Amino acid sequence: MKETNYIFQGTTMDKELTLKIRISEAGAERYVENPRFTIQSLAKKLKIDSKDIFELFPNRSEILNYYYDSRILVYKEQIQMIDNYSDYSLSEKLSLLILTLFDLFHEHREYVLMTYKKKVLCSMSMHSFESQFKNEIKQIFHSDRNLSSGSSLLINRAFYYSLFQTFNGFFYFWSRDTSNNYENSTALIDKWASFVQEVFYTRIADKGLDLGKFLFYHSPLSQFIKR
Amino acid sequence: MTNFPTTKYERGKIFAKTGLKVGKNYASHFLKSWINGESDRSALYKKSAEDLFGEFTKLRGTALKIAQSFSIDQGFLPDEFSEVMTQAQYKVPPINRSLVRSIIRRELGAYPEQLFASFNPEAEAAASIGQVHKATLKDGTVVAVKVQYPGVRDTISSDIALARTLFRTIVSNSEQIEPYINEVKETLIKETDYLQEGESIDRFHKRFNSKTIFTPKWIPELSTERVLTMTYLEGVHLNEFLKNEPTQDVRDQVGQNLWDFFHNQIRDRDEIHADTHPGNFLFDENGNVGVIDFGCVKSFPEKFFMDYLLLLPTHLRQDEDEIKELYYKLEILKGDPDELPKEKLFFDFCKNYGFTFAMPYMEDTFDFGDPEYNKLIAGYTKNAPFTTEPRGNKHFIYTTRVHLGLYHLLMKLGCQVDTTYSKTIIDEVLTNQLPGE
Repeated sequence: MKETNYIFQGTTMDKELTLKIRISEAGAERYVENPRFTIQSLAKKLKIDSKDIFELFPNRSEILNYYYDSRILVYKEQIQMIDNYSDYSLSEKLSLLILTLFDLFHEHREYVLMTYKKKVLCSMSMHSFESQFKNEIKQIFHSDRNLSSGSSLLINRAFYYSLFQTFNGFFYFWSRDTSNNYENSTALIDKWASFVQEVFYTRIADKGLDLGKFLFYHSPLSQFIKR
Repeated sequence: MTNFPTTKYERGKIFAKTGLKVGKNYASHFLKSWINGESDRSALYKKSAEDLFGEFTKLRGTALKIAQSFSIDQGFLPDEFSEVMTQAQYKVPPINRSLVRSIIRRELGAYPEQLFASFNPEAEAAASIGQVHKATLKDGTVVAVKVQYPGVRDTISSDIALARTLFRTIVSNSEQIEPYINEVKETLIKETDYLQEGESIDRFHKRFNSKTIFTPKWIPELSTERVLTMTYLEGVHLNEFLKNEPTQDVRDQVGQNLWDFFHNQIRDRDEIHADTHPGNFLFDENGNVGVIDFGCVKSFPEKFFMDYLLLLPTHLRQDEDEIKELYYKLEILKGDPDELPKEKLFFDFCKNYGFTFAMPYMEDTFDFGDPEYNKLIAGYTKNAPFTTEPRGNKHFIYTTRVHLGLYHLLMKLGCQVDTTYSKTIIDEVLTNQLPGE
């Protein structure tokens, strides 16, 4: 079995959660070997009882779906280990989220390439990976004190949806990236995150709104409304 | 935090933008002096240099290397340019902390917080192709981790292509420039392989690490082609060292160590640290010298190297025929100076410059702090005969960088060095090499 110990090193995850993640990762590996693998064969690979697996997952499909959910959990664990994460700029936080997810995806690249579209993008209902991703994005934007007031008008559900679609675009790029250690994907994410930061940190919108407000209050239209 | 322009279009745009900015500065300067009759050329140079530096630092990589070579060649450019360009040796905008973390994860297999007992996400120094982070290993060893900017290797080819286009418009016989461009390109590509640099660190550590010269120790298990880990060297860069107003004795000691380090490399006739600019040296209060950055180490062909060294005693003897013969061998002269005025101009300039350059080897001690000597060297570089064709063997690019770089360091230190030992080395190397000649 491929070792992915780095994920758990130094984390505060409880045993059950750690086991769930181990099962989902082993499931992803088994899926690549044989998409029709059985829970028994998975238990054998993990050297645990299949009963232990059934206690945590009702079926095989849930194990495979959980692989994606757990990536966000692992990411959350990792940011807790970063000193001064709260000082990170918007672009740093955004690129950290996306780069970490791709770093994690890389560990099971074959599985991800085989299943991401089917399980996450074309899922009948919204996959919890998508909702968790959007929550993380929401968290990043809400905790950033450097955003301009005007830019907050842009932050809404449609915006989070568009960022998830952007992530899917990055996924498409990464899946075809042949550069050394996905250097081109890294560069693309870096450029995009820097651009987003520029848009959300700029005070141009604030100044524009300020000017607009002034003009409005001193316009005949404002006098008319007052009357 | 800035992102790194990697595409040919983006980098070409920056080259063009830089040209426009500098052009605009000159236009506004001439307009001002025409309208007001005032002319502040110094302010113009400073503004243009700042614009040039500002744009070049965005390019990092190859373009910054060009900026660095400008700064070594102080005297060739107006002082205001050199002053601003010297910043290229230390200040480059660092890359995003998340990116550093991710690059380390991809290269070394785990995130910095998992690999190291501590890792400073803020770069200690940002240079042309990578940035350095201070970290502590789990066994307590303090290390420097150099992380290469993503995509820098790809930019070399596009920058070289842009430089080639630029040179072709300037140089009269453009094919002649090819060997020089290829030499620079090969060296730059080699510099992006941190495993090769690690091996060089290892070899230099074995050869030179001593009481007076300290070099880092390579940590191969935490190094890849794009991430390099080595022991951390304490010390300060030249400007900071001089700000602390060291005594003349300490300055002399530093200068002597640098001078001896350079000549010991010649004695070994092995590799030479070919990037002699202030950013690659650290100094301590006792006059010891730390050597860092082993990305650009060179081994020169024996024949060229011996001819190059022979320039020193030959210039001192001032035998014109001997000098001429050597110049032909080193491809400095392309025709007979007695018949061609252009060659004559070149010959006279090189002969005088060569003599001045060889002056430290005349007596047993030499004062690099002598302002007259500084002026003399600066005067030669400023008044070099303008030519639109390349001169000299392609290996001059690096020998000059090393030798002239050393002189500039010593002149900036204002130190006096004992040259006895260095003269013995050059004598020995030349006599051992040329028994039959």
